Amino acid sequence: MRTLVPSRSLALVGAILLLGGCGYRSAYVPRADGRARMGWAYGKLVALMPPNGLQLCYRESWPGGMSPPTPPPIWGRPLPSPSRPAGGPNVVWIPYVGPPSPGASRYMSESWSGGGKGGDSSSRGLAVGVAVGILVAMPLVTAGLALDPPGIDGKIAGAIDNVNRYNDSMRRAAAPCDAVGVR
Amino acid sequence: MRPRHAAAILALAAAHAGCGGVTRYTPVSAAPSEIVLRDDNGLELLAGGGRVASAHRYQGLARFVGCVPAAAEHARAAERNGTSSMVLTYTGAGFAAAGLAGLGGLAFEDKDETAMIAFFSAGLGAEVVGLVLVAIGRKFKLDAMGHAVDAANFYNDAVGSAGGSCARR
Repeated sequence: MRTLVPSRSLALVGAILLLGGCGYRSAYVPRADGRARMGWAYGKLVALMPPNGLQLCYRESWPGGMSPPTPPPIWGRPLPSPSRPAGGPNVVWIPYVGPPSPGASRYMSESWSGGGKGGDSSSRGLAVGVAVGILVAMPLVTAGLALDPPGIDGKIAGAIDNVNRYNDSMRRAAAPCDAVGVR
Repeated sequence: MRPRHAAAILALAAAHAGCGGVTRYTPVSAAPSEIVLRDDNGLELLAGGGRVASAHRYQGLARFVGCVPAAAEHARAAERNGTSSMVLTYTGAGFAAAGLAGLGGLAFEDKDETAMIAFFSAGLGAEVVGLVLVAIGRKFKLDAMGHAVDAANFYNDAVGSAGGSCARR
């Protein structure tokens, strides 16, 4: 009972796991629209933040000559509420450079990482014990791997919160482009 | 491997499983059909107060963003990778569980060494296959997430953040 797991099998496992590291690479380039968003880099979610000092103003157009309701322009409704009916305004957010705002930087990714293995003996009893241990432990490791959501953890959740909070604050502080002199 | 070691691994696996994050902030200025992300022990894509799609299969995302070709392409890739990941994960978990049958070799410990080794080997083989399948499934989960996030970004850039939606077109 020298080798319970053939070395070829282990090599195959290693090769497949290595191949598993060659994941999707995003080619998405964020538009310079002043919006923060979550992106994908190095196999995980990253926050893509707009350049420092950028502000937003807005222009809106109403389809079919509709007149805007009051109060207009900022989407000011929490997500859990029903969606705005069709025929609302098309809002164009215009980024422009204003006074420096804290916490913002160039469009760059801020990454957070999230992200383990396991004998031979002369004694027969020990070998049996090792085999039993592996037989019991491996399904547990497999279950942990299967149940753990990959690519996301508490830090990623914080990054998503930061992105959503940033966009809200920028839009709430926005004014009509005409009013701030942006053509 | 002693029983207490196995118990420790079990506890660690149980503690680690499902340890994703949870977002606490609800966006209030999102456009009606703009896709925003939420983490509720798994990635969710929301728009207009409703869930558009969620990990790991992202079903419905391709339909929601279908009017933006680049977004639709990524959404289909997310759905495809998500489905593959679930098939691999469930199959792998089945192999891992079936591998426990290898413990039946203990019944032959003092009787038939060959039979015992055969049981152990078959069990370990099944468990290794299960682990590999789950690991590959995990890769597909990650790829699905990447495609889903890109689909949301392409969609928001084209219509979602400007107040539009594919449903109105």
